[in-house]
Amino acid sequence: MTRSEPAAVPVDPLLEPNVQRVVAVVDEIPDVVTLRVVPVEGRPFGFLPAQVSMVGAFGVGEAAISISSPPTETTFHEYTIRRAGAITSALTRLRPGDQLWVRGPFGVPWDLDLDGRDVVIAAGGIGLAPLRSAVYRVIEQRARYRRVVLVVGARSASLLLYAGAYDAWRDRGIEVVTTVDVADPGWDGRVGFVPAVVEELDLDAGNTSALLCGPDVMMRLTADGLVARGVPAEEVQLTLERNMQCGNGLCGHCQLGGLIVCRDGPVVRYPAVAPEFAVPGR
Amino acid sequence: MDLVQTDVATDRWVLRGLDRLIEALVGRFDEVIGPVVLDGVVRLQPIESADDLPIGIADEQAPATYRLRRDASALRFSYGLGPDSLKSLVHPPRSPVWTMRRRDGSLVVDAAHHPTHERAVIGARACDIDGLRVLERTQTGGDHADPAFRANRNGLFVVAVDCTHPAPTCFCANTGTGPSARDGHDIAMTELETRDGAVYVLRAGSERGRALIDELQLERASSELIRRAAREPGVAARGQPRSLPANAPLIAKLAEHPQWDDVAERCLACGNCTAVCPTCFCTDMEDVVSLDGDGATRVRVWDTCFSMEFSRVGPAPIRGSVTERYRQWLSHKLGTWHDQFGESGCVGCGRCITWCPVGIDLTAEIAALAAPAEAAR
Repeated sequence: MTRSEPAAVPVDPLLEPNVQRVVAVVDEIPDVVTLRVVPVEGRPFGFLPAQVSMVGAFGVGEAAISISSPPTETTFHEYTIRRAGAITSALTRLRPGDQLWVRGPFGVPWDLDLDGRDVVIAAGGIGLAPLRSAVYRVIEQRARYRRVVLVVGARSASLLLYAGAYDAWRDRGIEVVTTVDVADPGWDGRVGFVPAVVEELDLDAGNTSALLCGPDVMMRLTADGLVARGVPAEEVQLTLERNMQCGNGLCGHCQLGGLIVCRDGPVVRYPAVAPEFAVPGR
Repeated sequence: MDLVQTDVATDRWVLRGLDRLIEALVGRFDEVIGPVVLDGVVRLQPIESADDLPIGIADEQAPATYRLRRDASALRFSYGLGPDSLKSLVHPPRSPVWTMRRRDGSLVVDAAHHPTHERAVIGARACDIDGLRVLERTQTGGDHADPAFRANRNGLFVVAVDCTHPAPTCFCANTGTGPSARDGHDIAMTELETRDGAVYVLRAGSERGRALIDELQLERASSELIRRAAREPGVAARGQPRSLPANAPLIAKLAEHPQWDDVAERCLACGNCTAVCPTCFCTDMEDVVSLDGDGATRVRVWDTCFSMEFSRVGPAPIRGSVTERYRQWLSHKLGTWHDQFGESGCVGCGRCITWCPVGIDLTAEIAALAAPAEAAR
């Protein structure tokens, strides 16, 4: 009980902000930009596809954003951000040279050890962002998989994310199917929601694995459709979007039933959330 | 260590009045916290001497009701729980995380330091000490332990008092968390009324608790006092009218039941229950910008799952209705807490019942949810 200098408790580096600099900004679609960032000191941390960072704007706050650059890219990270609230508005206003902070990476990544399987990747809207690093990884290791189909849906053709990259992905052995809710004049792709387009794919169901990202309802309908066709529910992975405020499993915001999404997700297998998805407001 | 374990089981000391104990605590800790009557409520506040503690105070508690009155006793702990739990000490309503400064376009981070804050708390009840353990698991049990919590907890010296005057809203006998402190304390006391006034029978719960008892050179308690100390808290808890059934974790997770709409009709979504709960841990972050605009302090603040913002993703909340938000709270507290942390989030303190402005009683809600949905219509 003798008094001494109080010992400081060591700090978890994932709890400390890492200051980074914006080196490039790409305007993707209306209200969505991609920031390319590099740490002011040192190199970017390694990550796996679908892992998330808390990305912070000075004086405003942090938002959970998945890392959408290639996992093999060791000199920078990219974050694709949609302007929604105060924090993402501040982040999407940043210009090259501006600084922000990052904590990460957090969360469970996609399981891409799907050797010899057909892989269906389905994205709704900005849901392609957490899938892009997985697409890069699949392209890099293309020979491990059989057929790879990417279904991308958006409300209209001008809202298809990363549309300029689709041909390059096709050249690397990915079937890219695009669909829109509303066809503009001149649109020659599919019209309809993602679940319906996935439904029409000719699949070897028992040998298919799926990666889904989009609104809850899109993921639920797509997953239910795949499972109904014989894709094992365990083979359907999806990435959850909830209000992650800390990334450390401490703040309670991102709960979904028994899951703490930043800790137990964002990637989960469908059986882990199917009962919760069936109840609105969970 | 063996010696202390033997002592915990058998050794009891006696203290007449609390002056010497509190003097010793004040002498060795940065701060001593204890129950103090403030604005008609027993709060946990810094104290300097035994005179700061209540004396001869009784309480009346019921759903949405809390009142203090004087009684003639010389007891200092003759009332149930006030609104403050140990949560306020280790996981305070506002705590700084870091400060960031903007200089010439660069951001410079001053991480918050978390020196161990040497504090003692006197008068902690068994249910709150268990609540502290439950809360600790949520904040330090995972891969990214909260350093501020850890520092606050490590520095906390806990003097427990066995609960001899539980409120009718509490149900520690049912949850198995009281009325006597079993672990998590450094010293535990039982307060007994005798012809000579209040007498405290002490037991050590840790080596540093034992060291303090030794330093006070206390007498051993008589076998009669030891018998009374072993008996009286249990007798007091025997009359607790409330309980949760063994299948409460399953009932709380029911997705569909008309009772959820029924309780939402009464619930104000004010968040009082989450503020007074010793285990509700949810927090939000605020960035407080300095007047010159070049400094921003990130502050963690208590949040509540009853707020509309809590579940916001993009433009809209996921749990937009009070039905969904009350269901989230109760399902989590009694149900999914088991999935997340391997135990219940409820320690039976009853504060959410007393401090709910409309008197919603979770034990009654569980009883209603346990009735078949058809019968409830």
